[in-house]
Amino acid sequence: MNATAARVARAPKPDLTGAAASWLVLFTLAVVASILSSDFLDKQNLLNIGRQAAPLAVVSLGQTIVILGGGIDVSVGAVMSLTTVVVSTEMNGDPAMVIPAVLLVLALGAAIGLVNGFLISRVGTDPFVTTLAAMLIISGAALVYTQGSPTNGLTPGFRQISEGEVLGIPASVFFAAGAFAFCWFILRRTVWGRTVYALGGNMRATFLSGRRTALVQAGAYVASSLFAVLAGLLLAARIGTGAVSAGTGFELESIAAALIGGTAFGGGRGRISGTIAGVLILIVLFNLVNLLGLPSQLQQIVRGAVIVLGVALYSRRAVAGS
Amino acid sequence: MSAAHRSASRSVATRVRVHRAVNRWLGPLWVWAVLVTLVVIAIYTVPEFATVDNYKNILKQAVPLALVAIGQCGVIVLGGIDLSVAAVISLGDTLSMGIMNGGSGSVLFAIVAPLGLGLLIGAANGAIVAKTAAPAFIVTLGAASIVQGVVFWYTHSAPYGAPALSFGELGFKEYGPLPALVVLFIPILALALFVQNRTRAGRHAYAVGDDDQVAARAGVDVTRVKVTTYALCGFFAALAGIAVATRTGSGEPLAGTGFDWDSIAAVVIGGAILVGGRGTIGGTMAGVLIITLIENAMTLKDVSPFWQSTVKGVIVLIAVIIAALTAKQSLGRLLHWRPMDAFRPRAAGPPAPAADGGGAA
Repeated sequence: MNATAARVARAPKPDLTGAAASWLVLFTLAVVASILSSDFLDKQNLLNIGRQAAPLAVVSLGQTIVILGGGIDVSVGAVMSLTTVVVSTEMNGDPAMVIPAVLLVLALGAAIGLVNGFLISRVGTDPFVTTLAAMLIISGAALVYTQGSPTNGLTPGFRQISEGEVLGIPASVFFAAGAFAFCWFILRRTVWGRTVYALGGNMRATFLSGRRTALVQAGAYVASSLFAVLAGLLLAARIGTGAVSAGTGFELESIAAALIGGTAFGGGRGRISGTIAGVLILIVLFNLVNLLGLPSQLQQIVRGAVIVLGVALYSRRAVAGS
Repeated sequence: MSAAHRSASRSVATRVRVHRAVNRWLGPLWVWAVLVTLVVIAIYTVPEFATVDNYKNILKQAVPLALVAIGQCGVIVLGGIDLSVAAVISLGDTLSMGIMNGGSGSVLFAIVAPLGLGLLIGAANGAIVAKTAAPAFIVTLGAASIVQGVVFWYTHSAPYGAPALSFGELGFKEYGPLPALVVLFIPILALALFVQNRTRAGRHAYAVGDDDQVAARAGVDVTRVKVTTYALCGFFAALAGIAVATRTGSGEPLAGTGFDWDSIAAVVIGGAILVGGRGTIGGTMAGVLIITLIENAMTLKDVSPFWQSTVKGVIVLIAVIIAALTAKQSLGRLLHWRPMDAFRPRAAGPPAPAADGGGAA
């Protein structure tokens, strides 16, 4: 008994329905896209999809952790925006300042995550409203910091983390892959990760089983903020400037990606591989709308419809059979 | 039972009724206390604040937000949320301006068409939320993206249309001592309060928000309640769009920006919780006035508009912390009393301070 309890619990039998279904949808979608548009399978287009998907993938991984633990983080978009403006302002074109600037935004992200996590886990505030308030505060702070104008100052070297290519693949894809591997490890191979799943399943039971639920829950929000910072760095490198609205929409898209990928809203069930499929489904659809040359207003309508339909069709409730 | 005992218990029962009525119709009193405190602070610190014209201005500015917040309050009581209201406001504004087109079109149609469309959008939101596992904020955010796209397509992303003369005057006319918009708003508010407190529909909304499965087993048609409430939220958002239109010279494709978060903030400040079952239109109105007052005071004080978002965020954060502490009963002892305590033997004295929700019974 004691020996098994002390060991890290093995991952439960993988529930492939959610994630596997999402990969199937992605595959079908890719086939349809390549029929509809001859440019879809073009090498340059595929690289573009990779570059576009990388920031969304990273932020969605963090979002998935929070959702698995039974929470939600709507401040990630604002954290990404803040990251782009702070990193470009502090870097100010000086290659020597790249690392200090990156460390600064990481520290900011950790602090934001800690505040969110402390309020939600210790004070017991509602996750949606708390992170919503954080979003308002952070985007206001970004406005005050920049006085509303876009900031330039990213060094060409920094931009290589998105624009550079390794073995013909955009560097940002490797960052996203690294984030995925890290997430997979902490969720599947550590006590902390198992506790996140347990929290989403039943927080009270987890607490009564002797786990430090507050610590784990707060950790999930810190992770989500840090992933949002990393996503913000990749985004800044891709668009080449810092803007207070750069991250707008990522909160919605990251949550949508997690849910389309089979993660249950309310927590407890889900796989990060499904989230990656969810991200690629969204990006491929956005890309397709682009390739078909639809007017921009129509693109926005299609984006909204895709998200509503995708989430409505693929969402699962946290409690089975309800 | 002695006569003395009977009369004592009758006065206690009266007190209970009064407390319940206050909580239902006005919302938590501490929110109103915060509002009064803010007014007093503003009178002493903000120049030009304490003038009749400015008070009228605040009330007039508050009307569109108050309209959206009524609808949002209903949805939040259900345990849902509607993030499409901002886009629906933009739609209401631009569509009514587009139809009137400076007086060549019918004013009546310019009011009815957006309202009908708002009702439809809301009903669609409600149907998806009720029938699928999709969380409300994703459904409504997606709907926001769709509706805003339609608005951009309709207006070619530029100011569009113009008000008819009689319609445009509405934003500046006064009936008696009050701005016309405020006078027109009062019966709407009265109707909303009546529906919340005195109708089966209002009661069912609280039942569904508290626990929809229990409500369903008790015979409530949960789907119908959800679809109706979201539809009304869409309706109120469109109405708010029309109210915005009375104050401007042409339809603005982004007229609704910010109303989504502001309306949620107002409802949350008013004592509602997002899991549903708690919240009042009365408290929401206090929240609306607090937000409008702070915006007004910051503008008069020449504070950079960039700070507004941060200040609002801080207010929402404080409100949500108070709500959480109240639920844990640590702060609740100071802020709320529990009317039922009056039934206890010692309750003939002042109401016993204890925690209770700010919501309707």
